Amino acid sequence: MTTVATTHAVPRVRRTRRRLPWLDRIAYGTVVLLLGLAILGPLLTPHDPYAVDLGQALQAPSGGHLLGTDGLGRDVLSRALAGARSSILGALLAVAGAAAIGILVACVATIGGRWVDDVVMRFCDITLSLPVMVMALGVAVALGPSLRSAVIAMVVAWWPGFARIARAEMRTVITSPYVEAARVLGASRWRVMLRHVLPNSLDGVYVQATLEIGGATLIMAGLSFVGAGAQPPSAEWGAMVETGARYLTSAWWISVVPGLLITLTALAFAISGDSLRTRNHPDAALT
Amino acid sequence: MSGPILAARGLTKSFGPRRDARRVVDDVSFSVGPGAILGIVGESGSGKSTTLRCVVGLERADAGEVLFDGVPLAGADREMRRSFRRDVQMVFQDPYSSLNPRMTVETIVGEGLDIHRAAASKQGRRDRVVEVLELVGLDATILERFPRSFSGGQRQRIAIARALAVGPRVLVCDEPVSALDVSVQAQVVNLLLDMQQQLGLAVVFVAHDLALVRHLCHEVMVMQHGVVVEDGACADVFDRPRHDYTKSLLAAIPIPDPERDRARRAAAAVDRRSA
Repeated sequence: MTTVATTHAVPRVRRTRRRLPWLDRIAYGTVVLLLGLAILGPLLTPHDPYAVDLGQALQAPSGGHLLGTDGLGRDVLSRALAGARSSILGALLAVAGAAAIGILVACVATIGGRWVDDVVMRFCDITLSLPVMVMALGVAVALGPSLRSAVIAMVVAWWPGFARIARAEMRTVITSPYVEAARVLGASRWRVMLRHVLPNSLDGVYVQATLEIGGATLIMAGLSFVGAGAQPPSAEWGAMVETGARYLTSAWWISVVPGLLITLTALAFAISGDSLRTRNHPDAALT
Repeated sequence: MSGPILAARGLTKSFGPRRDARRVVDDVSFSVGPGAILGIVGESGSGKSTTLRCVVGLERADAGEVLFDGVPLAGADREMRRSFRRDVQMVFQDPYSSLNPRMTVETIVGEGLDIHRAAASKQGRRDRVVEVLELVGLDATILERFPRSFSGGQRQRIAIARALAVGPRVLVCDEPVSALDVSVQAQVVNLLLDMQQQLGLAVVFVAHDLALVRHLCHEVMVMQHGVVVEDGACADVFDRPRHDYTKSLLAAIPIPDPERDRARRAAAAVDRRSA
């Protein structure tokens, strides 16, 4: 049995190494495109995304408005481009913040000894047992609905996942002989942590972060959709879907355009993250 | 002063749950004088490595004490502990995992100098690093390179350089050649011996290769199941073993007949793989 599995595994792993599957390439390309959009999007808008023109309301896609207009006559394409910044950068920021806090907590848990470790990690477990969306929603509403609250809420709901991953990796690294060598040389706990453990424990966190950006985009949009994130006039994909929802039968493009962008972002980051993960740990591809 | 530099008294260490803990090191005592080489031998799991780890402080012994220059470390002041950290250095078994993969040779070898603030300047640090690298048969051209670009033998030389950089008086080696290719084992052993003689180091050398220990050590200590079963001058123990376990270990030393030896090594290799 084991022999069969191994012989099967070898060529698959090799192929992944030599040449990326087409799906992965498309995903990486899309991620680059979306990041470009997040940076340049607001500069590329053909119309002012906030210019209300009730005479032009609910127009179907045409030459004048490539993706049509919404209920207030605002250009959907312009709003989608302008919204890329808050939607994608918001998600990036949330994940980066969560990863940073998670790593910090993992460091404390790893250095702090068994007692600190137990307390911190059990706290993470409790937080992890609550659905992210519910928790983020609660925090965002408590802080007062805005894009900033949504980002903060996601950081609060998301850091324990990163703390777990980082701590697991640090646990392994801290027992490795090069860490012991540093201890024999007389390195302090902090030195061991910063120079040896930390730089060698972050691969998993990077991969996880990429993987989570997709999910973060979704939750971000979800928060805006239910009114706990970005507020109506601002161009943000989730908020746009919400404003368009009431016209769904007559003017589908208002919701569908930002909806597709959210889906695309979530998928592109998730597939890229997964691709990074399998390339980092070839065995994971088989499970 | 010719008392021992490093000594252990009654070291005991158990692993596992308190109720049925396994005593891995049981009342082990030894001492090494300046310039002496002590070999610790025994089969896998006999507690040799754990003994060393207790001595250098990687494991906390349940009982017993480590004496440095005749002074128990447990009650020593900061200054004493600091000089212990500097004077007692270790070489690990597997050079593939004992070098931080993200550090250059210069930072690896120079780390001890940073920790002990032993280099006055950046240039002074680099000079010292190059000096020890040359001592172990490497040179300044590798300073900026990472461990992954070296062979096992070269890596072990780098690890030895790291240990020597801070100018230790005692070198503790945990099977420093058993992870290396047979072809480079001799080189590394000779390097260690050379360093020991040049620098007048005291060495504690853990090995399961008895021929090696006989070649290298002045004194030897035989361990089985965590207990010292026999110790004494190397020649005495090897020529007139008193304990049965020592006798059986000695009987397992390779015979200098290539054909028989090869057959036996092959059999041993198969055993090791299936184990």
